[in-house]
Amino acid sequence: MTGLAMGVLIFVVSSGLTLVLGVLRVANFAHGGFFLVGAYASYQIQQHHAQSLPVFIALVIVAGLITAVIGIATERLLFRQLYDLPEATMLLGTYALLLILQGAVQQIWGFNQKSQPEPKVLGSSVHLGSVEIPRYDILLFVVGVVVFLALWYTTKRTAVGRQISAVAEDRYMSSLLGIRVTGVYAATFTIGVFLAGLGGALAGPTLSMTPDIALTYILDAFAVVIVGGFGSITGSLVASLVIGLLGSYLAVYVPSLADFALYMPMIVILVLRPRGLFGAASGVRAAV
Amino acid sequence: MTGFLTLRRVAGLLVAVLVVLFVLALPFMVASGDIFFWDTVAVAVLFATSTNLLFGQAGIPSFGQAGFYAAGAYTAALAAQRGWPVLAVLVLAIVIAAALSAIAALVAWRITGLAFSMFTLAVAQSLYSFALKNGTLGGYNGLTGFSATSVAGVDVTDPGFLWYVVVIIVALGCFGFWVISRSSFGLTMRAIREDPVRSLFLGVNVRGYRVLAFALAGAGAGLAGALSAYVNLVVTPDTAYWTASAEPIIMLLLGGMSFFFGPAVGAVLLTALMHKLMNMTHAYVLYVGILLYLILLFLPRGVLSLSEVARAFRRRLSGDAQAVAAGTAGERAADAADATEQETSIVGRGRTQ
Repeated sequence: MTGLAMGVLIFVVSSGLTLVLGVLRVANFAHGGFFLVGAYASYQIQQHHAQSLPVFIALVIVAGLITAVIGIATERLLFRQLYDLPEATMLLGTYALLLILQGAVQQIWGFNQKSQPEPKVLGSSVHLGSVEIPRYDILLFVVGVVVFLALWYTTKRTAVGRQISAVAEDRYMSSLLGIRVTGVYAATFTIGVFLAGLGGALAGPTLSMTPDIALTYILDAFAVVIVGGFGSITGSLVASLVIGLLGSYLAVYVPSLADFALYMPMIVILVLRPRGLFGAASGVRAAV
Repeated sequence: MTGFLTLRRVAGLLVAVLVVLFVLALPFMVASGDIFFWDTVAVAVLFATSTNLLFGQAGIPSFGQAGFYAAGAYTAALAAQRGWPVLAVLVLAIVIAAALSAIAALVAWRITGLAFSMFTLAVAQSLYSFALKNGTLGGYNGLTGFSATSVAGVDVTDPGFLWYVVVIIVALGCFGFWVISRSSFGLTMRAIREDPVRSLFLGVNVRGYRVLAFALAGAGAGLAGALSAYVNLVVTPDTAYWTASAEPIIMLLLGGMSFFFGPAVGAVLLTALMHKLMNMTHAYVLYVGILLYLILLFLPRGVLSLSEVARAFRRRLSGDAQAVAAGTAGERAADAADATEQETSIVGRGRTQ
């Protein structure tokens, strides 16, 4: 898998995380759980049916929607209770939800590795001069562009998006102006969970699935969100690509350092620029 | 409630005597295989108590204590393989873990709150990757081939003796943290937690205190890790994985972080619970998650606050509004008097730090 495609995949997952973080002000560990649910939902509904491209894409979207429905239920039943709690409690609350989601997946699908092959049409590579690009990577790349444009359009050009931005900026003032903050929270959370599920469904064919991928992918997504800046979609895109490319470069040339592609940028950014590359100054405050 | 022999002190003394009797009698009561389980409980008690210096006292939300625990464990394994005596190994593990956490805290000089949580997570994960990729640390398989045969001249090849040694060291470690929490240093830390800006204006070196607190907690984690190496006879990279950092936090929440012995109680409860759950189901994280969620929502001060909760509930049932008001006022006064029992804690704080 090329670094760019890896980066795009991380972007799809982390864009949802950064959206939730920017609006709800909570670092949502459960995002990794929804990623996992998306991957297994996709595995469950595809089996070996998805051989053509349109069917595969449709099933990936369905997996995302299934995840979103589970996300809405989770938000109503469990997540909403956490909104009034302080930041650290919320963080641990989302960690509890991650454990619950991961445990549920373990209970349903077990611990054995599941492999979900990509559809046959996407199995081969395209030759572009001397460069060989897997077709699946091209699909990921297209999806990444679509997700970025859709998010950009939704947040900048639609009424819902403006409300989301307003709540992210100042939730108290927004509530005074008649915006239903709880509704905006629910909408944002749903979009975020859908993206997590979509990312999971797309990641399925690129890895051997075990319930532990929730734990690794949430770290990737957190690293991206921290480097890119809390709440910034553009930052998420840039950071995903940087981390994806750096990771694949190190994996080839300095294999012993490959894992540090994630943690080193994270540490450097946290120390030198805690708000991230594209984050608003209010994202994380470095007081005292 | 005046005089030396208050009800509270008598109860505390009784619990202490029971704990000591239990510790002494354990090797005669259970099979030697089960002593191993209780060793891990004791190690968890120290790990959770050291982590609570950050959460319950200093208000530093670290999500990477497993990194320093693993640093202590690996240090111990490497030194023990080279034939170092046990006590020297433990001291070395403390020094290394404390130094590493001091360096981490110095690098994170300006970071607080959520960003600090993420920073510590990244540091611990870096240590995990380092252990995983480093040949001298045994890579994925970790380190084996060491054991504690004698401590200060006493033969500990018998699991019962090892249990006594582990408990004594854990007790000494916990006593150290108790002294810290009762000292002026502990008081200053709680002042910083309550209001960092005001503490700064009062002339407290806020960042310096935070670094020191982090190093002390790291030292405790390192000691716990070193003990775990002797107990498990193997050290693997998994000890540094980020989910391992959550375990002491769940323990201190379960027991109650505003009580000094809360984390210890939580450690016993969670270790025992996980032990039972693992025998019943592989998907035990589901139940740990549900437990954590319920604790956060319904018992944020842990099981040790159950008596207060029950008292308040009984009063509400009796419907005497005046008694309720008087009771809460009395409780507040009692809480304020007891330095280790703070009403607000890191979990009870807003996002401005």
